[in-house]
Order: sequence, then structure tokens, then C-alpha cells
Amino acid sequence: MTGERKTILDIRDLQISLPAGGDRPHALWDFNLTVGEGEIVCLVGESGSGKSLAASAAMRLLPEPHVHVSKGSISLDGTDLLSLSERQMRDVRGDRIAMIFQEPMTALNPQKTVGWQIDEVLRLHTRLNKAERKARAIEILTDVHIPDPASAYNAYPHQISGGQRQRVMIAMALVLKPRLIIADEPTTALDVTTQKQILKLIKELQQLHGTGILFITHDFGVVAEIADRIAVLSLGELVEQGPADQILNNPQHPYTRKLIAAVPALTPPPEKAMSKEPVVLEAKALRKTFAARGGFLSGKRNPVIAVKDLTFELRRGETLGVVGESGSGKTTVSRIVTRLLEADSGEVSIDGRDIISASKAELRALRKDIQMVFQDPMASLNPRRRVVELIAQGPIIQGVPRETAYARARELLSLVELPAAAANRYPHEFSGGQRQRIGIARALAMEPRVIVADEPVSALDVSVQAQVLRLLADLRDRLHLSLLFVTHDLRVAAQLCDKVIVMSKGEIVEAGPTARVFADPQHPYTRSLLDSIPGRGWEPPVLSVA
Amino acid sequence: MSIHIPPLLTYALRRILQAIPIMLLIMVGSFLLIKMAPGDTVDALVGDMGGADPAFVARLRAEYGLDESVFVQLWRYLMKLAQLDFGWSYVYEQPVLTVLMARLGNTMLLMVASLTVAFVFGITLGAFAARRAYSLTDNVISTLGLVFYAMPSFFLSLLMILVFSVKLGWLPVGGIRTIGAFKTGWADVIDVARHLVMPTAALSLIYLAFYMRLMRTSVLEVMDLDFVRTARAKGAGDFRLMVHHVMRNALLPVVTLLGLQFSTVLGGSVVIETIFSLPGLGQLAYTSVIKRDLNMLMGIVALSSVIVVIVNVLTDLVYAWLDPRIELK
Amino acid sequence: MSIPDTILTPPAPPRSLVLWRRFRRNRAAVLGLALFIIVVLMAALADVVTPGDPLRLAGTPLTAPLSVAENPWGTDQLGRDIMSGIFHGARISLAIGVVATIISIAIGIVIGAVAGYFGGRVDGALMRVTEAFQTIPSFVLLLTLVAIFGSSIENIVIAIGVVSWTAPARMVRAEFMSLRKREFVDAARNLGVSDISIIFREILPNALPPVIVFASVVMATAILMESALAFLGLGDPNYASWGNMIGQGRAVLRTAWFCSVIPGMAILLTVLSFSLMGEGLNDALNPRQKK
Repeated sequence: MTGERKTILDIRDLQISLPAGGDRPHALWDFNLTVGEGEIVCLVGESGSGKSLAASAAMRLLPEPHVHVSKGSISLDGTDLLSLSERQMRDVRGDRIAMIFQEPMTALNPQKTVGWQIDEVLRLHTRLNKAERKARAIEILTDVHIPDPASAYNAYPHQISGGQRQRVMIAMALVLKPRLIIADEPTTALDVTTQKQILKLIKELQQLHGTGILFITHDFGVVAEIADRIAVLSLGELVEQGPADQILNNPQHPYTRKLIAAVPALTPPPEKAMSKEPVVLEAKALRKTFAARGGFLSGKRNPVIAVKDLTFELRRGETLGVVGESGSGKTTVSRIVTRLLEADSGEVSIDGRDIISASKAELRALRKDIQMVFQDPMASLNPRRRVVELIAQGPIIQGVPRETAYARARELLSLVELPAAAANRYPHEFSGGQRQRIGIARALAMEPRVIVADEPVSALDVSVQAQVLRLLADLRDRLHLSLLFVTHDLRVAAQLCDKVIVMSKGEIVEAGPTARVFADPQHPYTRSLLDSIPGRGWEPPVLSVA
Repeated sequence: MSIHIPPLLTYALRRILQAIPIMLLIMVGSFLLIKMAPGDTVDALVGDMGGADPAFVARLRAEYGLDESVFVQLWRYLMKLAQLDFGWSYVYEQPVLTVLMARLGNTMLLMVASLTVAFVFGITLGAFAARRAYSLTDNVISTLGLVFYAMPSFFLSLLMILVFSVKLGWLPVGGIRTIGAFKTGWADVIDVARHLVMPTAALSLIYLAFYMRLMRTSVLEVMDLDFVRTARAKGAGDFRLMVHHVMRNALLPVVTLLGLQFSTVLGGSVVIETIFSLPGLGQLAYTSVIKRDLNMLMGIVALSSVIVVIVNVLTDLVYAWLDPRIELK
Repeated sequence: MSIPDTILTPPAPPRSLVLWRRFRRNRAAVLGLALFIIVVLMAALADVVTPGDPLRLAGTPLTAPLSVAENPWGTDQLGRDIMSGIFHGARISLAIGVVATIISIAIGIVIGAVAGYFGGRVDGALMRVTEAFQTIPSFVLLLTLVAIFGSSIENIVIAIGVVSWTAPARMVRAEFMSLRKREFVDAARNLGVSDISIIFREILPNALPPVIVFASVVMATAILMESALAFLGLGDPNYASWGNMIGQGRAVLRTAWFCSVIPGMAILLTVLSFSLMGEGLNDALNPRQKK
């Protein structure tokens, strides 16, 4: 399949050295990779694998001299890039190799218009005059399907949406029809539906121009969607490489097998008979509007309706998924039911006791029953407190004697599978997954009836994600907990949730048992959401992971 | 999406309106503060005369409205201020405003000169140091910055006077013009400039150090941002990167500081103008304190606050121009 | 192969030790610390090294430095010993620096914390007051306060504290506004922790490091302000002050430069020591990779 293709990028025996004193001497070693004409090669790895540095090396944009290529060669169409002068390399960048970055928000200069930034590429690499450059820029904006390219040309980056910004980045990368595009997690920051469109766009334009693409990602769903060939990187070591089909369905290396096994399958659990269990958490007609701030002096802004007329119920031992894209209001829901945010109207009750109208003292007692696990394991633990204090803090406030609370906290550590030695440490001494376990222990310390989990695994690597999800499910079953699980990731929702509500623009568009909603979505929005799940057509093979 | 037309004027107007409560707060605060002073204008007057009989003192009090309650006096004071009546200075025997206006020009000249020097040299040196971060050049510039920052302006003034006026005789010791020279045209401009060299240097040095350090940090931060990497990936060279992508972004915090610090610079003019006998607001503040001319002091507080507010609005406008993300509507 | 995510890394050394190691590596910061220790020693040993009232006649007026054994750093036009003035002046400068800094940081923390944590109208009102204080040129306000309440050393200290709290307040507010959004604050609220506890026990410890670094700047500014006041003859006349020495030395600048230059250098080096230490502390707290 790849034999006939002309090779564009050829990386051989690449070794990238890290500054002394790091966790390893080389970010990358014995790295061999080729990208052929019209080929999409996915470089897959978890955080810290060195995949982004490989991309920077190809652009010769490593933060030298601290991090530098110490061995090997990188050639583009037969030209050795490492032997070029900086001046010659500048001519290559943007013209023959272009790059697309992860964060479309920060990758564009906020002080320059979209047009100016595309124009800059043309100014640097062509002799076109001003009018020709503008015509070319508008043409490429049209090619990336930006609505109204002429006014987009004059807009500043903050005036267009995230998806549009990524289109602008792609336009900028493609405007000179480069031989090679390096895309570093280009869709990670985007919503699924936008992601799907962007992936489609990249593929479409690549086929049109025969560009080679080195696509860097951590997401096997995206890989399944787009890759011709796959290379898997683990802590600087290239563990496996081969055609997409072979790697996805018959991985050989244990690391690859582990990664693929961690990808949640899209088959929801069978419908459980829940109707006999009592309702624990009930929300009725919730509404929240973020008011326009300020008066006539600071100018008017339109109020934003975050949640309107939201009603749901959660039974004992049940997991209810709240899914939606950014801005759907799903996070607001998690904040309202825990009363971290005041609702404008509506009711939330736990075991029939109203939390919305509770007084300060009543609320303190109610908080015991509804606890939260947060998204960012880095930010959700106070860096100045020891783990045992963090876990025991809630019970102590509830009146449990300090000694009892500390003893219980130590027990909880073993419940979340952390060693007892963790108790006296500070949060920064733990990995992301471990911190999330501490967060879970903190919630459990209150012996709650309901746990609200707000994207608890979205900041974690896939393999860690799977472990934390397994722990949550296990604890739920053992302790008869009810889970309100907020997520943007439908694969995660499919794995864990008995029921889901699908939110869009503050409203529930569809609700029901996960199995039924996934198999037979009724609302067009749900359908487009499900269609957008990357790698939907690929069923991860069932692998035994040693 | 629409074409970005900055409605700068309405924005400026709104910022000025926002400043009104702050100005009011300052006026009320300074008035009440002065009222806390032991002894009022009449006491000072009578003290100057060497005593007077109680009936006369009472009549004077009534004449100045000082027998009324503090709130009535405050109201009157604010009403008068609204009509630009800053009261009467018994030291100068002139309306306060007249005295202030006569000196405003000199202070403004000093301010503009000092801030221009501090800003231009500060950002240039700061950007230069950042480009060569952690090199010898950077270390020398940064250390010098700390020394500048630690140098008391009055001490620097004396050193300069000692070297440039006393020993070398190059520059005049003080004043704004050579007394009795009556120069006109360019000769006059050069004369004033010669008088301003040392005060400007003394006042600007510490701020130069401030802007330099801030600019250095800011440039280093901006150079780490994603869009700079994007520009590199487009094939932009170092010079282009600095001029088009880094500098303008890096200026944002410096401009903010410039606005915030303007009042401090204005305060610094008290010492400098006093040392160099520069007839400006700062020197006036000093003599008013010495002579207990409280009306004048309040006038100075009011006028300098107005100046600060205007400068802040201007820096906000510059900021809005630099940063298109600021919504002007 | 599947490594569980629950194996702990080796324990990290205590934070204070890490900070000290980083600080120690910075030569400029260590120099600052050394200078600071010298100034502290001068203040502590003033009565031992140069006993007696520093304002008394102690030699022939305008003795040059290094010419007479009794007055190694010379004397001023009133025959006062300059070395004695410098040593005793160190006390005044340090005392004023420390107390004024504590006052201004304390006001700044309370106002900044309340404004930053509660936001909304509370923030609006407090920020208007802060802006009002920032709009009046601080030195003019300082002069006014001293003119009204008199120039005793207590008044000067309080006045300096009152005119310099705005910058720390803004800084604390900014820290609080960003920390307030961090999830650990939500987590604490979710456990039922009260607002006061959240402000002072959850957020403040995290907001403090940059404020402590900034305290070095406030301290430096406070010393400069006091010396400027004294230079203008508005300081407390009952104490030896470096600023006052320079102010009086000005009259004999042409003939006896040392009367102003020696105290000038004392101020310069003291303020420099704070800046160097502050810088070093800042680098230790926020290490950059590129080093």
C-alpha cells in the first residue's frame, strides 16, 4: 500500500537529548519514521512520550540548546534539514513544511487580523503583490469552508469561533501547498462535532494536493478515523509501527495493546431494571441565567441562558450521564445541584430534602449527602494541605473528632488503592490519576448518597482514565452510590452510564437509558453527536492485557 | 463577524464618566482630611498677624463660612469646585487656581520628558535584555536596573549637581530658565532644555528601571506563547518575530503600569522640583506644606488627581488600540 | 505490563529546603542577603560600635573621612559623627521599613482578599476606594498627612503604610480572583467550609508567596519615602535619619561631598539588598526552565 508512494519526510535514527537532571537523558531515540506523498501517518503516544518534540525537531523548532538533536537525520524530499542554515530553514518552514497546532485560541496572534496572518506567509515566501496576496488568502479561506471569507479576512481571532480559528490555522498551513503538514493534536481542543468537520477537511484537502501529513495525537478514535499508517511512541521509544488496519485490529506490542484495550468500547451496558430503587436526587425545572454585568457605564452584554427548564431524577445505585458539548450547560448543572452556583429557579432535592432553599446550617448538613469529584486533578486539591488533611477536612467540619477522621482517611486511601504512605504527602507529589483517586477519597469520606463527577477523567491519559473509571464503577456498586456523571466524551458515557441526558444550549434534547439512546437516537442533535464520535466505525478488538 | 471600527470616542467618554465617582471620593476625602488638621485657615491667618481679638476672629470665621457644620462646608466646597473655584491662597494672595495654572506647564514638561525617557529607554533595554536572556549583557543590564531602582532620586540629583554643575559647570543648578537672560525662540527652547536635563534624568531613572524589568519579563513570557511558535513555523525570522509579534503584545503590561504609576511619578516631582528649584506643582506642594497653605494643598491634590485621571484614560485608549480584544462598545 | 497508576514516586524534599537551595544558587540574591545582614548588624550594634547620641557634637565640624581616629567616616557641619549617624540611622530605616510594610501589606491583604473573593459590588466599591488612593500622587498624600498630623516617627510610619497599600491590595485581589476559580475552592465549599475559612485558610496560604516577594518592593519604597521626607526636612527631628543627613549635607555639597555621599550610599545599598533578595526569592518561587 505504501510501497509505490514517493517518500516526503524521512527521519532516521533520530535522538533528541534533554537537559541533564531530567527524568531521562533522551526525549527520543532510535526514532525512524517516513511520511509518503498523500499519506497520513499518525504518531500516537501519551503525555511525555516525546511525540511533540519529534514534530518540533522536524521543523527545527526545538528549544535549543537545552533540547537538541544529538544523532540521526531528518530529510525532506531528499534534502537533509539538519544541515541547512537557519536562513535556508526559514524558507522551508511555512513553504514546504507547515504546522497546525493544538490550541487554535492561542496559536493565532490576538493583535493581528486573520487576513494579516495569512498574508504574512505569502509575504515571507512569495513575490505576489498586495492584491494578489489578498485574493489568494480569500481563496484559501473559501477552500477551508469559512463562511463569508471576505469579512473573516478582516476579523481578529477573538471574533471568530474555535472551529473557525482552526480552519484559519489550516488555511495558513495550506496556502502555499506545502509538501508536508505536521498537525500536533489539531482537534484535541475542539468539540466532537467540530472535530469531525476539521478531520474531514484535513483529509479532503490532503487528497486534493497530495500532501503528506504527520498527525500527532493521543486519541485512538481519531487515529482510526484518519490514519493510513500508525507509529506508537512510549516514553521516547518507538514501540510499534505499521499500516493502520494492522495496528488497530491486531496490535503486537504490549504497550500498544494496553493503549487500545483502554479505549472505551462504544457498547453501553445493558439496560438495568432500576425502577424499584428509590429516587435519591431529583431536579425540577432548573433555570440559570448568567446576568449581563454592569450598568450603563460599563456597556451592556446580553444575558446568557446556561440552563433552562431542566428536570431529571437519579435512583439509588444508578449512574446518570450528562453529555453535551462545551457551552451546553452540563457543567452548570453539576454546580447547581451541589449548590456551588445558585439557580434562578427550580428545585433540587436529595431524599426529598430541598437543597436550593436550604439555609446555611441546613446546607452544611445536606452537603454530606452530595459530594463532588472535580475535573482538574491539579487544581482541585489545595496544594498547601497534606492528603490526610484533605480527606479528613469534610468529616471534621461535620463534627467528627480529628483522630477518628484521620484514621478513617487512612482507610479510605486503601479503598482507592493508594498506599498508606500517601497520607502525609502533599498533592504535587502525585501523578494525575493518583490525585483523582485522592479526590474520590475526599468525596467518599463524607459517606455521601450521591457523587457528582464533573469530567473526572478528561484530564487523564487513556490508560489511567480506564483505571479511574473502573474504580468509580466498582465503588458505586459496592457502596450503592448514585453517580451524576458529566462528560463530553460519549465513549466514557457509554462505558459507565445507565442512563444519559443529552444537553444542547442549556436544554435536554434527549434522555433515556444509554443503550437505547446510543442504539436508536431520536433527536437530530444526538444523532450528529453520535456520528461525530471519532473512530465510530472501528470496534476496538478485545485484547487480553497481561 | 464584522469589520472592527473602534468607537474610541464613546469609550473615552465612558472611562471619564467612570472616573467621576473616584474624583468625588478624592475631593470628599481630602476635604475631610484637611478638616482633621488642628487649626484652620483663620488660625493660620491670625497666627501670621500675631494674634487678634476674639470678636474679629469670629467675624473672620463667619466670613470664610468656617462656623457652619462640616457637611455644609463640604457641600459648599464641592459646589465651588464644580465651578472651578479652588478657593483663595492667603500665602500667594491669589486664587489657588491662578497659582496652580502658572505652574502646571513646568510640571507637565518635566512629566512628559521623564516618562518619555523612561519608557523609550526602558522598553528598548528590556527587550534587548530579553533577547539575550541569561547572557552577560542581560546580567549587566538587569543588575544595573536594580541599582537604578535602589538609587534615591534626591541622592542622584545631588550627585549630578556635584559632577555636572559644580565640578564640570556644564549644566545649570536649578530653575527653569536662566534668570535675566530673556531668551526667545530656539535659544529659549535650548535654555529650558538645559535646565530640564538633570531633573528629567533624576526623575526618570527609577521608572526606566521599572519598565526595563517589566518589559524583559513580558518579552520572555510572550516569546513562550503559542502564536510566536506559529510565526516561527511560518518561517518568520527573529527580527520580524520581535517587531510584528512579540513587542506589541509584550507592551500591554508596560502600558498598564505606565497608567498605574503616573501618579507616583507626579509625586516624585515634589522632591525633584524642590531640589532643582523648578517652579512647578511639586515645589508648590512642598512650600504649601511648610507654610501650611491648606487651600493650596487641596487644590494640588484635586488638580493632580484630575491630571492622573486624564492620563489614565489616555493609557486605556492606548491599551485598547494595542489590544483588539478590548471591547469598546 | 499494565502498570497500575498507584505506585508512589519517591517523596519530595520539603518545600522550604527546595526554596533555600534555589535561592542559594542565585549569587545576586546571596549578595543581597549579605548586605541585609550587614545593615541589621549595624542597627543591632549601633550602641556598641558608636555609643551615645548620634546627634551630639563629636568632633571638629567637617572632618574628612579617614583623617581622625575618633571620627573614621568624618563629621558634618555641626560636628556630628557620620559613622554614628549611619549606624543609628540603620535602625530608623529598618524600623520604618518593616513596620510600614506590615501595615501596608495587612491593609492590602484584607482589602484585596475581600474584593477578590466576593467580587461583584463589594469588589466594585473597594476598587473605587483603591483607585482613589492610587489617583492621588502618593508622595503628595504623604506630605499632606505629615503636614496635618505632624512628623513624629509614629505618624510617618503610619502615613507611609497608608499611602502604599494599594499595590499589594491589587496584587492580592488578582491572586484571589484567579485562585477563587480553582477547583479546590469549590471543593472546600462543597465540604461546607465557611467563607472566612476559605479566604484565610484555603486561599491565602496559596496567595501569599508573591505577596511576600512584593513586600521587599514595599519595604524598599518605604525606606526611600522616609528618606525623601527626611531629606526635605519633614522627618522626625529627634532621630538620626539617613535622609536627613543627606538633606543637611546638601548645604555643604561643594566643600564636603562626603556628608551626603556616605548616607546616600547607605540608602542605596540597603534598598539594593531588598531588591536583590526579592528578585532571588521570586526566582526561587517561580523557577524558569531556561536557566
